[in-house]
Amino acid sequence: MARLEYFLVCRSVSTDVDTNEITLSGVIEDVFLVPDEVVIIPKVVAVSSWTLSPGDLETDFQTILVISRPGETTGKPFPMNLSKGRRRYRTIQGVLSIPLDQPGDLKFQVLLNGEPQATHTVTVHPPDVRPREATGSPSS
Amino acid sequence: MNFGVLEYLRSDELHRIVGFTTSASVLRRVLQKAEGVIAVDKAIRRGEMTEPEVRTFVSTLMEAFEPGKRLPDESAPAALAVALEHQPTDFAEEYLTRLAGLRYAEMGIAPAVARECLKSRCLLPKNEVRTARYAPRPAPPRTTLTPCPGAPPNGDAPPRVDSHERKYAETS
Repeated sequence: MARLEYFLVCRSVSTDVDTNEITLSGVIEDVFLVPDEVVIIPKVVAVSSWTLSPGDLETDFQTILVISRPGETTGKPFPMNLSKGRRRYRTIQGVLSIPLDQPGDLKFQVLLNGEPQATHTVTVHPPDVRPREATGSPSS
Repeated sequence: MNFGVLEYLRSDELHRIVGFTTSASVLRRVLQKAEGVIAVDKAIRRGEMTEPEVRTFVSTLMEAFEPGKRLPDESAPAALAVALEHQPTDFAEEYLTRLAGLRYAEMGIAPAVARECLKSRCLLPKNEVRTARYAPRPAPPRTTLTPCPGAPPNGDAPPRVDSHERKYAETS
C-alpha cells in the first residue's frame, strides 16, 4: 500500500531542475473575506508525497483531492492517477479560482483509492477579523 | 552533423574511460563520474540540448546497427542513459524504458546499464503535475451587434454586388 509522507496546500511550488528538490511557498492557513464581495483564491497548489512498498510497483493508484468550501457538505473532487513504475511520487495539483463567500473551514482532503489520508484546513474569516496590516492576502 | 556536447558520448575519450568494463553496475558508476556525461546531463536539463537533437543523435547511433555485428559505439547509448537517469522528463523515461527492454546480442551492455539506471530512478520521487479550474470558466457574454445610426434595417440592406458583376453591368 502507498504511504502518505506529507500533504500541504500552498500558494506556489518550485522544483529545482538539477536536484529535483521541491520548494513550497506560502502555506495557506487563513483567508479573510471582504464585505459584500466574493473572495477568490487565485491559485492553490496541493502537494502530497507518496511512498509505495516494493510490491506495489505495478498497482494502480488514484489520488483524489477533494475541496469543500465553508457550508458545503459535499466537496468537489479533483482526481489524478499515479503512473506505474516508481516507488515515490509527488502529486502537485494546482486549482485555480476558488470562490469563497462565507466564513468557516475550507477543507482540502486527499484520498487514495477512495480512502481519506489527510486533510489541510484553511480558516476563512469573516471580514471584521481581517488584520489591519494584512496585505497581499490570498484573496484577489 | 555535429551534436555539441553529445559528441563526447562517441569520442575516444569515453572509450578510454569505459575500457573493457563488462559489469553494467560498474559501468554506470564509471559513466556517472565522466565529465562529458555530466556535461550532457546539464546541457539537457538547462535546455541547451533539446529533445529532438537527442533523438536525432540516438537515430544516428543506431544507423550503425547491423545484425550479427556488435554495435561499435555501444558505450554512447549507455552513457546517454546515465545522463538521463535522474531527469524528470517523459523523454528520459521513454528512452530508459525502451533501451532497457532491448534484447539483442549486438547490444548487451547498454540495455543492462539502462536497467540499472531505472532501478535507481525508481527510488527517486516522480512529480505528477496537474492544474484545473475550480469551476468552469463562465462563457463570455454574447455580443449583440447594434446597427449604425441611419443604417437601413437589416431586411432593407441593398443586395451585395461583386466587383466583376459591377464591371459587367457598366460595360453592357
